[in-house]
Amino acid sequence: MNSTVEKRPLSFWLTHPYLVFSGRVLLGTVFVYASLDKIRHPELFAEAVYNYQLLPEVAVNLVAIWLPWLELVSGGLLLLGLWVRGSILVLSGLMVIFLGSLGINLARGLDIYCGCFSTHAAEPMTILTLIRDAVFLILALYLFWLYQIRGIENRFSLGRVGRRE
Amino acid sequence: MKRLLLQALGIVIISGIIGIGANVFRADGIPLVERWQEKVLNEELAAGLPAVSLAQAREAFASGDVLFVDARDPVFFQLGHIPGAVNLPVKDFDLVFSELEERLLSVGMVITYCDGASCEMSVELTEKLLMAGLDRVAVFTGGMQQWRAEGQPVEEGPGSTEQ
Repeated sequence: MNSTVEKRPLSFWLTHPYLVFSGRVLLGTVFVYASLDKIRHPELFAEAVYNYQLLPEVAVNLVAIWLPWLELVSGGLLLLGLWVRGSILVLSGLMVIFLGSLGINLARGLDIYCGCFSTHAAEPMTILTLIRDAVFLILALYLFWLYQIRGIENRFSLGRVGRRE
Repeated sequence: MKRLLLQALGIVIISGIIGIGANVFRADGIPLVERWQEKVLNEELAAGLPAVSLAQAREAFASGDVLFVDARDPVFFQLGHIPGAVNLPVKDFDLVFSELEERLLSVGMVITYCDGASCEMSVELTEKLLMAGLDRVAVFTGGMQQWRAEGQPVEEGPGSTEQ
């Protein structure tokens, strides 16, 4: 092992541009991927939203129409490195809402499908789903900490193209 | 901070506009507002749960060899129910079913109902009764709304729990 590597503080690694970029790509990809099937099958997704039994009847379809695009737009912007802080805030908010909805329905013992990545059946909601979403929330909060609180430079961004020098 | 909130708000608004816009133009768009309870109820009925129309319910009522079972909460049951019906609130099913079991098994036919087409309680109750081993159960989907609208007799009060 190289001694200079060992001497680096943890914050060096946590703010390393490659790690930050990887985190951004991972979270962005997750959300873009999660939105595609929902956009493709609006009616099935609306049914999944209804099955959560958390929203008033009038709000079900509006949320089902709007939510997948919110995931796609914010995930896409995060991937491109544009409006990064705003995207991270939206994605963190979504993760909190998803975790809350999953938690409430797991506690209620409701036997429904997750509808997280696929609108089709065979995606049951379990404690593992909750853990998975918690990991995504931690990733979102980590990125929020980096960009909003530590104020790190936004590298690998489409917004920087042509602005060099 | 202001920039952060503006960006987030921008994303929320832009996605809303794209979402609603895409929904308007796509062939398989969905209505902005939908009556989900009614839709799910109809799907369940279409999936094969036995159902009776008002005419069939009236006929069964006249024949006397049927027990109407009201799936609503006791408060609504007392405000008005089909004469002779018993109250088996679906949320208290486990508690009340045992009291009524003998009577339910002794009749030729059990017909469940609740408010009407927009309530799911009668469908849920029918499923529970079928699972509890009753075989001649059907749901009167028109419920109290249709029953009253057609001027059928209505009984008020706690009803009879005797055989």
